[in-house]
Amino acid sequence: MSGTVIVVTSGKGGVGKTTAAANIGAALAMMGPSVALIDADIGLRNLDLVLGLENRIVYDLVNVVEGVADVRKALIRHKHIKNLSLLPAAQSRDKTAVTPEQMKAVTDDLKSSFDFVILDCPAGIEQGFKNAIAGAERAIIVTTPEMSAVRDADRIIGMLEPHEIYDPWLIINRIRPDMVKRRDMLDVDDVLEQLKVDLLGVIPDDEAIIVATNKGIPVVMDEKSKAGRAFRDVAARIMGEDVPMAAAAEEEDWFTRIIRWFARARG
Amino acid sequence: MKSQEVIFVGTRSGLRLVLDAEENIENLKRVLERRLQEAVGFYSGARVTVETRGAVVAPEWIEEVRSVLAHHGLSMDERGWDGASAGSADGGASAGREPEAPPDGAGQDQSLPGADTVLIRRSLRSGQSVSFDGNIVVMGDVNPGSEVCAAGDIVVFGALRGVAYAGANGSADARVIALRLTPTQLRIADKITRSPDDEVQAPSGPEMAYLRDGAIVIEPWTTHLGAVFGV
Repeated sequence: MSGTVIVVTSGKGGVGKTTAAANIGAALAMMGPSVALIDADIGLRNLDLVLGLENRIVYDLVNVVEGVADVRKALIRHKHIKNLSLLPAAQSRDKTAVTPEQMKAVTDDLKSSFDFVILDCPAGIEQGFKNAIAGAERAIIVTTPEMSAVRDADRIIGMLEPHEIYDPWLIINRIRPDMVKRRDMLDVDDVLEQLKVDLLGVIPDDEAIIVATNKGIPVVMDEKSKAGRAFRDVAARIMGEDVPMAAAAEEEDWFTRIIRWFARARG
Repeated sequence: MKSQEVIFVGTRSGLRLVLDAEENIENLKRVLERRLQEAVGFYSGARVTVETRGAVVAPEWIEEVRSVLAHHGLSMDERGWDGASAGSADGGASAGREPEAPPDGAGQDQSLPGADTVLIRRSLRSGQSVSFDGNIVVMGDVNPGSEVCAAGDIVVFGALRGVAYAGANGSADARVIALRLTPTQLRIADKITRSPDDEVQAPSGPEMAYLRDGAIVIEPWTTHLGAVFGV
């Protein structure tokens, strides 16, 4: 079997890459496929924390590439989601501890036994980024509706092309419908107009994310959370299901729609 | 008063650098260095024809000048040297009298901006840049953080939101046309203009930027205008 290797990246820090990687991985695994998450953020590892697996780490990514441990020995199975495994980053090393070739060897190995291999890419465009994209076939770009995040996302999309990663998916994170309505925040159309890539999902700003992260429970396991639902929709779209973009339109009442319709008609 | 040892001349056929070869080479290099620093990358990427007002110079002298130019991202056009060093008696001297004429050997075959055009069939994203010694046509957007630099005209079949630099070798009749002309910064020949700091109404149709009376002006692009400018 040959799984798909997907890198979750953004350029800018703090837009929710790790949260997205953890929740997309968890949601996919909950649907049935086997998923291996790799934390490529060596030296600033977080993915284990978000998944609540920190206390189970014995071996890490650097141990694997240095031959200290076999990759299957280093993988940590999630305590609740049985199809989800994590290859944690080393905390005491830095990005230069791994080369892109070594990284590709690890992902090539893992995709022979997992349906999805998802990499959590560090912020920036340097070595850590180059490592994370080395073995990737597809990319999920995470951005927030801010000019700076959109600009960095644009840069990253351009940087993926020479590595033959085309047609990236876009996730717009932390949308606040009330602010969009007041035109205080870029809306989905504004972001897409510049980036011109396929929209994979819109994640509403949700306090439940912070609560879930602190507890180490992926928000997709919370049935009531809007963000959790949005991430489950994202996973379904990756699996090829046609799920409408609910979150973005959800809070738009009939009055706003008519106003928008008039605004469009006026051009 | 500006020193006369180092003179940059922007012409239709490109950038010319006139150097006083009688001057001490170290002094000359220092002045050239200073002029290039003042220009803060304005000439970067340009091809330069170097002239010595007919004076014959040593190969080492040429190398010294070339390294200073290369340090600032300029490349030296070899053909200029043939005229200046070989024909010191007649060809070089005439270039000295008529500084606006193209240098010997470079006039005929050197294509005017407009002869060559490169077609970019994709969008330029932040951090990407294209520069070409002719015209550039982009079939896509030029996003903020990206840069297009052409010796001739720039045409964008999409939204131009980044930096566009037309007439980079000094040609003042270069123009920039885009379906949506909202650049971060626009440069034509030696003029620079930037987007307004306040929010402005987005243009409703294609627009063209060109130099009029030494200032960059933007007008809606129509076929009528095209006829006026002979495009």
